[in-house]
Amino acid sequence: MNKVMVQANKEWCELRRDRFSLALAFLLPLFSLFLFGYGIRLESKNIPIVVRDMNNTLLSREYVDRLYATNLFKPAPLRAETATPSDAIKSGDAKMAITIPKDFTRQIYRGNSAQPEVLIDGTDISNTQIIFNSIKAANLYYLAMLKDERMPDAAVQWVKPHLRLLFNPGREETLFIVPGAFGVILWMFPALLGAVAASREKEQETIIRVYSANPHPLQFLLGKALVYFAISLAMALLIAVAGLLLFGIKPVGDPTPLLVATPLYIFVSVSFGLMLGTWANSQTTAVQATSTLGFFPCLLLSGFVYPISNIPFPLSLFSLIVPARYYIELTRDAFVRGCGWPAVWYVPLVLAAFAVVLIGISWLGLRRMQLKD
Amino acid sequence: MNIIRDIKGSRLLSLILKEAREIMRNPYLLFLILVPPTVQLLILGGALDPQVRHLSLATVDHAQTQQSRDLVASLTTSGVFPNNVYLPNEDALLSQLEKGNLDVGMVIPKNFSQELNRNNPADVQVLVDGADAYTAGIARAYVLRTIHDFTPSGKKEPRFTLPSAVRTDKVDKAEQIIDPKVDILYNPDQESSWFFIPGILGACLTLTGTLVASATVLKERERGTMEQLLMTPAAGWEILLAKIVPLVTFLMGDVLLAVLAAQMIFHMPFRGNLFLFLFASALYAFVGIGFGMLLGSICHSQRQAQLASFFINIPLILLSGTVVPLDTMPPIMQAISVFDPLRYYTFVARGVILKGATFAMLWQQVGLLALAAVLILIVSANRFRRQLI
Repeated sequence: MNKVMVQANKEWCELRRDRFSLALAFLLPLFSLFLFGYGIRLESKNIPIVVRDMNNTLLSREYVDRLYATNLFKPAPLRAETATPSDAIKSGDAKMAITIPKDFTRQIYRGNSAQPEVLIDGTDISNTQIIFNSIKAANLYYLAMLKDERMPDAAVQWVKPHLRLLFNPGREETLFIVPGAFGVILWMFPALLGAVAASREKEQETIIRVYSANPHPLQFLLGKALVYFAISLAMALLIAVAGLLLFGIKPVGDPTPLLVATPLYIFVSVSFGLMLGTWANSQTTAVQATSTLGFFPCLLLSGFVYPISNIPFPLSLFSLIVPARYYIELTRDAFVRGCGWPAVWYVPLVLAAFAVVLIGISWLGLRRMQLKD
Repeated sequence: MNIIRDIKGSRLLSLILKEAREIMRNPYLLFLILVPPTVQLLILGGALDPQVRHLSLATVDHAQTQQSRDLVASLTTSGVFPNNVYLPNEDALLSQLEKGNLDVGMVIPKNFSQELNRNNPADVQVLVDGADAYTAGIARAYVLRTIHDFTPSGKKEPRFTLPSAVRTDKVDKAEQIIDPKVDILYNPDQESSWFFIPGILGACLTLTGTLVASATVLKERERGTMEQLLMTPAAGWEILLAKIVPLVTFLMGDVLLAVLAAQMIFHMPFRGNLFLFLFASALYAFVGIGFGMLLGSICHSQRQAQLASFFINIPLILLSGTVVPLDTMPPIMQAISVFDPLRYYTFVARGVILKGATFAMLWQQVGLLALAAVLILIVSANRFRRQLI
């Protein structure tokens, strides 16, 4: 244990002298929390559209008003290069273009179907679904309006749903994003610090000096891990406070799962970095590997933004080995639902398993650092 | 004059060759430049899907009639709710919702069919897990619309009569009176990989460009070989450009590899002009590498550069619309994103690859990319020169 503390002390002295890195270790998480918390919104508003109303009658104008009344669309800027609807979409000026035919009103009064022509930019996957649905919805609304004005007492609806949004009645998107952002941030930066620390020793060939102290590989690893673990705990506290002050996110219900899982998660994250650092040949490789294996998967395969259930089968196995996925489930429970242990009892167990495996792999990696006789 | 220019050209050329050889000699660096971005692109391209589907639904059905089962069936017919689970009572439903295992829960009361048979509207309770605000919004709209359209068996479709001047006999259902013909362009099957790959390609160019570029500069400095370079008669900008050109070339190889792989695996089309795309990619690679060089000249060690690169990379990627949508951000964030070159690259890449957009349509974005590339190179050349003295 003593040797572990010695290693930790040495690492701390080194880090303390590199003020710039130390400052970054605290500024980066705050900065990221700010960006994620304010920057990620999924609910679409102000989708630019082009409307060409060839009919220009009361009915067609009402129909167009109905579309804008969804609060989803705004008129696209007009440019000479993009006069036709398909060009407006091609150039990216508009996401949707609707052309109302000349005979719109006449067809309705004749009882034929009037057929506005709608072009949707299919490249923007998330908006396509929303645009498609809101055109259908606006259509239904418009028809109901036509009918209500003329035949108010016919029954339209057989079943009356009484809908309640649980846990987040105002549908605050920050309540979804910020707890997830805790998971992403506490994965990226502790891992990054760990990776740099472990690989630097090899690159600068100071590992030989470490050998002269003759620590057990595990003592060496734990010593390093301890420093970054402590720093990352402070980091976690910092972003939790920032989350409370900036976004008003605080734990609801039983906080013990959060208190147990957070240190475990940070430990997993630091040892993930150490693992990559011991296996990599240079600091650049280590950081590149951390950002390849850590940053993107944890941002995108953890359910932070897009649901895990959408990932198709062989790739969905990848998300099983992303620890952030489990921790984010836990933070969402702790900060939003507040169910506590019954919902997330398995998370600390999974995290502990990750910690054991990662330390084991870095131990193997450390053997490669041994001197050759 | 010509001869002088030739010599200058060859000096730059030999410097470029020196840098290219250095990269080629280091198979590890070559591997780093080529393999991780491609693998990343393929995994993420295949895995990401922002559409809301596969939501879970559970029902507590106290009525247990044909009509109540029809109501549940009407919700599970589309892809939004693949199936429904029946639960015995409200407590079970609530605890599943609290645990987060359930997105939507529905309670059908005992008198459901009785009310319907009396020709009264029947009530149902719908509970939606609001923890994921966005999904909750879509789920709510879908449930409301489906229940709104639901007509129990044995009941008449709420038929809609327009004023007497309007005849409705020619169309079977009220909805068909206005029947928008919706055409989804460019990606009719909604392959999400087609959407993400051009953007993630840009993100990979950023990550790889900044890391590798800052590493090459700092390595030269940490090893003290920078002095040797400075002893050569080459000018500062020549040294810098010689460092950049081979990297850009390798990154272009990366881009081609990625597009080819995406075509083979995801059948992503390439509808536009390849040269326009490569030109924009090269401009953006210059930007990414320029950022790396800048980091390399500001920071004192590789560790600092690598940590600081996140300061640049995270906002670049987040505010560009590559992985999270841009047009949904609050106005302030959108205003900041005007300064994000990756935003323009993603726009151009998507436009050229998926839509076949031409230069005439994209000249603004391409121009801004070029501006960004020139600016960042001037700034880093300046820093570089100051550092020399």
